Amino acid sequence: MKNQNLFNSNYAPKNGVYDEYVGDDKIVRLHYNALSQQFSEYNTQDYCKFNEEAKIVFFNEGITFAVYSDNPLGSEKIFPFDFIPRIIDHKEWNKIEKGAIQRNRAINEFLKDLYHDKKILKDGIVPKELIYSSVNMSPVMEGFMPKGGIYNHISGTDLIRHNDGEYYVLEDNVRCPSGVSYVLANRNTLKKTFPKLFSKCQPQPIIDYPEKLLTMLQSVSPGISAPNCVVLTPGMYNSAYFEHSFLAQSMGVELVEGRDLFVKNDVVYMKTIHGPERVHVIYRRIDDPFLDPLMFNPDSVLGTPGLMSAYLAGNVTLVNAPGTGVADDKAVYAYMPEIIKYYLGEEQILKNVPTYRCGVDDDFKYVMENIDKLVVKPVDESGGYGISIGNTLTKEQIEEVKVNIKSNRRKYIAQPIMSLSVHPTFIEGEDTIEPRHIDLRTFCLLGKNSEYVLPGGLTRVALKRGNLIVNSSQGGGSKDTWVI
Amino acid sequence: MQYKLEYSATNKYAQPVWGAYMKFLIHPYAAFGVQASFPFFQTSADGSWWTSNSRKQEVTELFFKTEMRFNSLDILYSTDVFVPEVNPFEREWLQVTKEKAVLNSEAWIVDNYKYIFSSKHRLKSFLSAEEMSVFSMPNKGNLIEKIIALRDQLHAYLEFAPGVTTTQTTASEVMQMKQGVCQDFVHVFLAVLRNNGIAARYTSGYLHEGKDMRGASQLHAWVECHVPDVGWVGIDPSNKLLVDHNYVKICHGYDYDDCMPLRGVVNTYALNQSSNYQVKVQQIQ
Amino acid sequence: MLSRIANNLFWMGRYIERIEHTARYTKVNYFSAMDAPISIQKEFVLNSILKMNGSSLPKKDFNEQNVLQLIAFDKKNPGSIISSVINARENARGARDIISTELWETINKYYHFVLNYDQQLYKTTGLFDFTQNSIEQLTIVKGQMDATLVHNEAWSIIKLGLYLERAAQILRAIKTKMDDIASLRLDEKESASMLSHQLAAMMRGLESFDMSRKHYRRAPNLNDSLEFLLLNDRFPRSVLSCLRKVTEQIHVISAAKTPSKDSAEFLANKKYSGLKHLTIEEINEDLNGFINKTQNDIYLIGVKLVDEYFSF
Repeated sequence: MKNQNLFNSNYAPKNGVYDEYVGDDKIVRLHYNALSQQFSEYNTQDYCKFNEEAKIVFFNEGITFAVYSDNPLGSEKIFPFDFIPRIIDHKEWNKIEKGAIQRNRAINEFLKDLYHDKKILKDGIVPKELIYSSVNMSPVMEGFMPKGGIYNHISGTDLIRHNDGEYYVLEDNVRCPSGVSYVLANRNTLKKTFPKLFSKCQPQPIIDYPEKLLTMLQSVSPGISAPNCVVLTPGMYNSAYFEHSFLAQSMGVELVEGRDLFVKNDVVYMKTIHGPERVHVIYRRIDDPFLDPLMFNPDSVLGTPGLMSAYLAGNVTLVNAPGTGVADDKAVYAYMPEIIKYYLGEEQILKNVPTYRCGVDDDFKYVMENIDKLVVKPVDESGGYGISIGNTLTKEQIEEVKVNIKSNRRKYIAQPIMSLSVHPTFIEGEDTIEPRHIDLRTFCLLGKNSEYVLPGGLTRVALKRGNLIVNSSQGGGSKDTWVI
Repeated sequence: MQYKLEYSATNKYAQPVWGAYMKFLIHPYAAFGVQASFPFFQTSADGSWWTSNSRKQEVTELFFKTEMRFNSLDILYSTDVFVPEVNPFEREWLQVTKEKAVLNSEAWIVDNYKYIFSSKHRLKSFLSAEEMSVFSMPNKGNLIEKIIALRDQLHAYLEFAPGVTTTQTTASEVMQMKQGVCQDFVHVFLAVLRNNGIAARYTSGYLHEGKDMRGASQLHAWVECHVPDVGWVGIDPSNKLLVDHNYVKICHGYDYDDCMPLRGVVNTYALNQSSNYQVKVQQIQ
Repeated sequence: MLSRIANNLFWMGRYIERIEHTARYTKVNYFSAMDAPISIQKEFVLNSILKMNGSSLPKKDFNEQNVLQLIAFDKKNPGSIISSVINARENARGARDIISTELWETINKYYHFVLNYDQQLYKTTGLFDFTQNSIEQLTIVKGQMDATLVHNEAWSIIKLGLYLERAAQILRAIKTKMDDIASLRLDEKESASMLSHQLAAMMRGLESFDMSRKHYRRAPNLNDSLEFLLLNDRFPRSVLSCLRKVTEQIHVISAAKTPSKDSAEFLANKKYSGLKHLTIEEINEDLNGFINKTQNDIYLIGVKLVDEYFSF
């Protein structure tokens, strides 16, 4: 359809970025045709209505999270949801799916190797100094083989689409990746908002994710046939508590806190009104340092004393395994193409963003001379914090970045400023539809002899015009993602 | 040699405690013919206790759990242990060039890297190059000779003085004070050894009394270095000795934090607590 | 069911019931004092309200506004309405994935109602509005409990807390009222209409006045009132009926064939069967002693329940 009035508003695609909805020729992309037709019936009032309706659904169900900001009290907010779905053609999706599985399988082999024979270090592919200088390298995992040989059971691979039309992996998340509950909540909401469009497009279902998750958990249980699986949460003051509670409920398993469990004779039990009940698999949403005050951070009240002894005795499985953080270190990211080649003998399906490691002399020199053209990131922060984007900085800010890097080179990497693709997004307050930058978090489950990637995933959108940082903790929003 | 080992501790709390969960690393390391009897363990509060070898087959952790209320807790542990006699000098050290070849191989370095690497996150055993410049490793000789040379330099440089440091003291602070107890000597020694590319680990254990040696009524700390073809060799920097059958090892790790004799969690409002322990090593035959 | 969650649910039930009794007793006694046969001192009513709430004020601070503030909005008073609703909501939040959305929303709504209520207005002219609204909203909360929860262990535990608290509050109200009557001036005491007035306040404060009048076909006298509140097994607001429901709900959780002698279930059963066959005449031989002992036993049942099932 040529030259239609896009969205019955003046949707103006940006220059120099990839627009998911329209091509450079201003023609709507094929897989968005059904959506385009449907939306041609709507006007601004309709859009406002859809937006309000979606908010009510989220509010009533309490789908909120806490935002950490300068305000010491933080606040509970509804996770902003944009009702215009992001659509991915299934042919493209096949490649993403294969790429995610390939990458996460390689990471799993990498972790297994690091904690056993360390062949990749002996062959000099990845520098040993890099691995051992990571706080996430966990000495207690040395020589231990988790059940089924799986470390990163649940992986969140973040992708962006650059202006060359290709997908690039922005980062890997193999510790406690979050966001899947919003995927399910978004789908639920959109089904109610656009039932006709939904049945016309028939996006690949995601409703069975909790079932697949539970099956995966059960497959890595130590022994018995009807294992007791639980979700371990830091508690209701954690920003992702809604997700912990939602997943526990959807799987039909108990949601526990560290104080609900105790360990005796290297076996984990939960405290029920009928006495202790054994726990076999723990989907833990608590980071490594807080798991066991007798093994790690002694000040942690979130974990269970003695948990690691039970884990190392093989009497309970932790999902994801401790010590996976050494693989989603942003400095290790730079070696992913080599890692995939080393363990799988394959070329990487999903591309890596070129990465400069400030700990390496040549890279450091380049970074210092080109800060204004680069994105500088600390390797060990999450949630989008501590990132500086070169072309938004003043001269003073650039000098500040240089000082930071010099003081701790190992801590920083830099990447060229990638162009994130944009997608039509409803802008509340201005009541218009405008292009906003998006990324995609995919969710991959690795079980014993099974692999599953959730079709679509979480499309995160930076709601502020021009903003490239899409994380929820910094005010981003999300969209439903359809694979058709 | 047959020893009777005893560990007793009293923990006092400023406010009542209701429930505690504790882990002890005080039982002998089961390897090289060392055999300990099943532990005797007693506490002043009713509870349950058990042992675990999940960390490593040779390491026995002892767990204690109680739900009682108390203001102070007395703990008593003992075991009989058999330690085969050994003469540390009667070892076949690998010839120097062969040894060098092993030490320089990537395989050796990577396999031992976790005890060669100087981690900035573990400040207890971290020293800057400048701080270590007082020590220098000889160029000639095989590894054990070099290690002994460094040991002797360290022993001469630091003064053994109890009460000046705590278990939180870093190697840097020890070098400034030039004083410390066995674990401080060990932390400094570890920093120096690792800086010279030697795989070295913190070792905790019991030292047989009855000889005029430092560190006899507390648990003792020494260093184990990995020597090609021979294995992990124990060196005691506080007493300027090589480890023999007078030493009963408990466990090893990167530094003191990995070998703490007691780690516990208690339910209480108290911010203050005092913990005193003492150790007895008696030779039985 | 996790012990911690069970604990949350039990106490949620107790706090909700506690608020309702505080609100109703205050409302009824405050307003009925206005048309008493012999004029009642304000002080008398306020003291009664304080006694029911189990709180007190130093003489220099004793006035109407302070008393009303204390029992409703003082966060330092553990028995105040605001303290109870904060606790009830926290407990509900901790058990959020167990209870229904409807139940959570009604508790949450009442919580916001209390926290946002104009306290100045309440102290001056809003007492009726606040207490009446509280009673009505809590009735809805309790309705949601029955209508939207599966009647499984979680539901039983909430009801357990609810009924145990109700029994305790009924006894409290009786004891407070008996003390009130004892503290009346001699001429007031001898006035039959005054006694009747106080009894009516007690019954109304426990939502039992109409039903007892229907039951006895006359305005209830002291014996009738006590009999109705203590011994009528078919009336949901009697101590006996509450005890029966407590035994039923404990049994759901324990599923024990023969409860052990020092268990909560055993004690509850013992109290229930003992009370079932007691007559009001026997009780009247030592009313004070009976009330004290029964209050004690109910407290003990609560302690044992927490110990056996809800501790962690």
